[in-house]
Amino acid sequence: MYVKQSGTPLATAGGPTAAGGRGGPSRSAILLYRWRRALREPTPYLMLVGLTLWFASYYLFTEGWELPRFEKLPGPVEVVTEWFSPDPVWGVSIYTEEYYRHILASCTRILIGFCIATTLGVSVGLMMGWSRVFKDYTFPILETLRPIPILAWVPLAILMFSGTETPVIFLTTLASFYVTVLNTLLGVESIDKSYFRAAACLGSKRHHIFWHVVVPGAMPYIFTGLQISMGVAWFSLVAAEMVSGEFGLGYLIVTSYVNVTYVTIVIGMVTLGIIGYITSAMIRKTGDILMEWRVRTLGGR
Amino acid sequence: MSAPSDTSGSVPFLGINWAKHRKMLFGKSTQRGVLAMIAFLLLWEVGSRWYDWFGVRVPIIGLIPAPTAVVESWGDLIDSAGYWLSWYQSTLRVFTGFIAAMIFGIPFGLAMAVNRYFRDIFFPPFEILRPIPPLAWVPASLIFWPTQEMSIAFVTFLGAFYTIVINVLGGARSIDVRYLRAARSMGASQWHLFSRIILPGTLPSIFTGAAVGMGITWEVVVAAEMISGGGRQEGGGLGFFIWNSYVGGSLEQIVVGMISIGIAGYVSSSIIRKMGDLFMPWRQLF
Amino acid sequence: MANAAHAYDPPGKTAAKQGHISIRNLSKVYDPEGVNITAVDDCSLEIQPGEVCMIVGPSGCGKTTLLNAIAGFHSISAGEIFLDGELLCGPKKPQASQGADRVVVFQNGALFPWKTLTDNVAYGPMVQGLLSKAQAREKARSMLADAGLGEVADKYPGEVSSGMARRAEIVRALINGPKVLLLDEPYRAMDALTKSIMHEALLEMYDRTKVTIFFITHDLEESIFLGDRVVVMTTRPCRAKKIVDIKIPRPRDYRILHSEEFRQLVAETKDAVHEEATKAFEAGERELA
Repeated sequence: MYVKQSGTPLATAGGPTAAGGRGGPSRSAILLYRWRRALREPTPYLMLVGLTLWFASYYLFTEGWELPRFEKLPGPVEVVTEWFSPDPVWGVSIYTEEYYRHILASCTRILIGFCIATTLGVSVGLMMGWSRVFKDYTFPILETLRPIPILAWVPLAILMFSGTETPVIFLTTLASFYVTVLNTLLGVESIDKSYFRAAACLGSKRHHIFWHVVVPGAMPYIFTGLQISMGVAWFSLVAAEMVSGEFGLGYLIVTSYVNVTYVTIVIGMVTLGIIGYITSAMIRKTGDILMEWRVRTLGGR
Repeated sequence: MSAPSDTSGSVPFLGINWAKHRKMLFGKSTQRGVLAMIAFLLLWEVGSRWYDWFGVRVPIIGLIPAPTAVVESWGDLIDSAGYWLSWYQSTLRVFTGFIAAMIFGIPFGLAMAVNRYFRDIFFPPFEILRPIPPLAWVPASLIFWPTQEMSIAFVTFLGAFYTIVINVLGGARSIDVRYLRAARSMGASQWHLFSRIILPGTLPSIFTGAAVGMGITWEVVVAAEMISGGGRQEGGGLGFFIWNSYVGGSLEQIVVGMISIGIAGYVSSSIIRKMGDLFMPWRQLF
Repeated sequence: MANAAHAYDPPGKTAAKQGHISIRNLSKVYDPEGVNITAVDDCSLEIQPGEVCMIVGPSGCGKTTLLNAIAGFHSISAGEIFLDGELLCGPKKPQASQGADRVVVFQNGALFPWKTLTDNVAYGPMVQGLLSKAQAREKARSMLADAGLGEVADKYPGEVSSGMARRAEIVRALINGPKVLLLDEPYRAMDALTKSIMHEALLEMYDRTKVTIFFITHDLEESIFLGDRVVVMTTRPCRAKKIVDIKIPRPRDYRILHSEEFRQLVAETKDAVHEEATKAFEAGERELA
């Protein structure tokens, strides 16, 4: 009828056409068009205005007009000169070894903590979603411990773990763990029941359902959770470093305050922001790679 | 005829569905949960007491005070004024920071959601500053603000502010555009659109943001209290209480402090959730 | 499940003594939170092997409960269901086991969004251990091509139109050579134009495989066009109210929609359906599905 006679199957009717495949505009032409159209909108200019306003007020308040209270804060000019100077006044700039030692210390801790938390958190979360019994046993304990703020664990962590690194990593791991478990659990519980039924009536065994339905189905939530978890990890790490640590960006900020080398505080803060953003973006990218099916939905995300 | 499925057929008595509540209170799930809690406490008790009984230090658990010791210490603390003063101070800080975050955050978020130009101008600086953890602001805050109280309040405010704004923004933008179109086709004014559709439509997100923000606020308050010393010697808040107990060597009090904050955080989040139910009666039906 | 490899043999070779469903005095009582709801009450129905049995009734009357009982998603309260003489569920075994002899196509589509169409279709034979992954994929590809989906076989369900996705879902079911194909209002959310194409696609697949089809719908014309028998169900609790035999010969195409015979059948069944629909409306049924 319509299917086998003609060589072209029904699929071409209304199917998505690849750009450039059949004489349409090329990919670069589309991109250029989009750019040109975007430039005609007020949006990018307003964004520039916003950033300039913010920057300008920062500069004017601290260095230009030297308003009261603001004058004590280091201004952008001071920060930038210090940050990029080969011979910094207070010893920390992109040319100094110390700067990178702090960055490395913080990043290593984050890496260890985040990896442990993700492994444990995703496993526990998947188990909790998969087995009602398991959830019944573990959920109450989790929910009882969770309201205790991470920083409140600091003294206990110092008591429990010897050394200076382990307590800090413990705190980071704990914070990330909570977020990861909850989001994974939510992910599993939000999978449409129909998928489970479909898999069952296609002859799956339990382990098939776990690997082919539960894990991929929960992935979107897991990755959202991982992004939050990364943010929380940084939050806890900085706090923990501020309270008890050697090296690290949090430690840098606190010691700069104590030693009255205020410029370094801002350098530390800006560095934190940049690295925090990069790590989150890395997670998002990984998610996009692992979940190609989400990216390729009709009409984009 | 086969055995029927559960046909308790209980008629609601006094308008309450007893079958449902009975199942929840005494059902298998609760039993397992209780069992798990008991096992947890037992493990903790035995682990921390092992040294006293057998002279061998259990790793990790063996170095912390036992639950029974904690309870004993708590009994003593309930009589001391300093303990309750700490409660009061922390709660005060949390609520000031939180309410300030709501007062500034909700309008800011709504403005960004509603007005495109506003969003284009203010979103970039907001997004750029967001990855910086609030605690990283503590020293800068201490330099800037005249009193220590204000600096802690500012950092607390920051913590909750980001969360609330992001949630409000997300919530407002996810309102189905058809609601707006329907209203407009019935002759609604701009103000009506805002107050009758956008505002109620964003309420769920506002409350979600508030609940999460509340949790973050407690984290930040405790952290700030620990870092900045809490102000006065006595009763500088629960965070300071914990730190002080550690420094002073009264280990049981550390745990008391931790649990106290946990309770406080849980109660505040519950209050917000209850308020949410109050403001959004339509949600309870599902 | 040895007939999976023969699912595409020409009709007549696979002995049509398969897929005989016998529902006897079925009852199902739901008990959400202590309040009894009788969804199905003493329903009996015989479905012959290779028959297309259409179940028509107002929303929320319990038709999906029947399907769920056959598929093994829900337990039953009373009565029995037999499949080819074997007991599926009954007094001693309230819930049927779930398996690839009775595959379901769901209302809102349940193709795994994280697998391509090929992998979706290949899923059944692969997890049952009947074919290796490569073999299953190859077979899936050929079956998808036969259904007109050859070009989009490597796309994800989110990338193709709902019509294509639904067809792929049916292929996913049929590759397992099931005895019964259970469809729960699969074309409900589609526009009329797509629907008519879907009908013809389904009929073509049916003509090839002659599998027993249990199809739930609330569209009367659809049921007469597709079915060998139309069973009109009463509103809750569900019971067979009227059964109409459709004697229109196969293969069918859209032209029979204008025929006198078709219109007569519609007239015959319409009153019964309309009566139940009015009752359901007045009772203010909320969707049980």
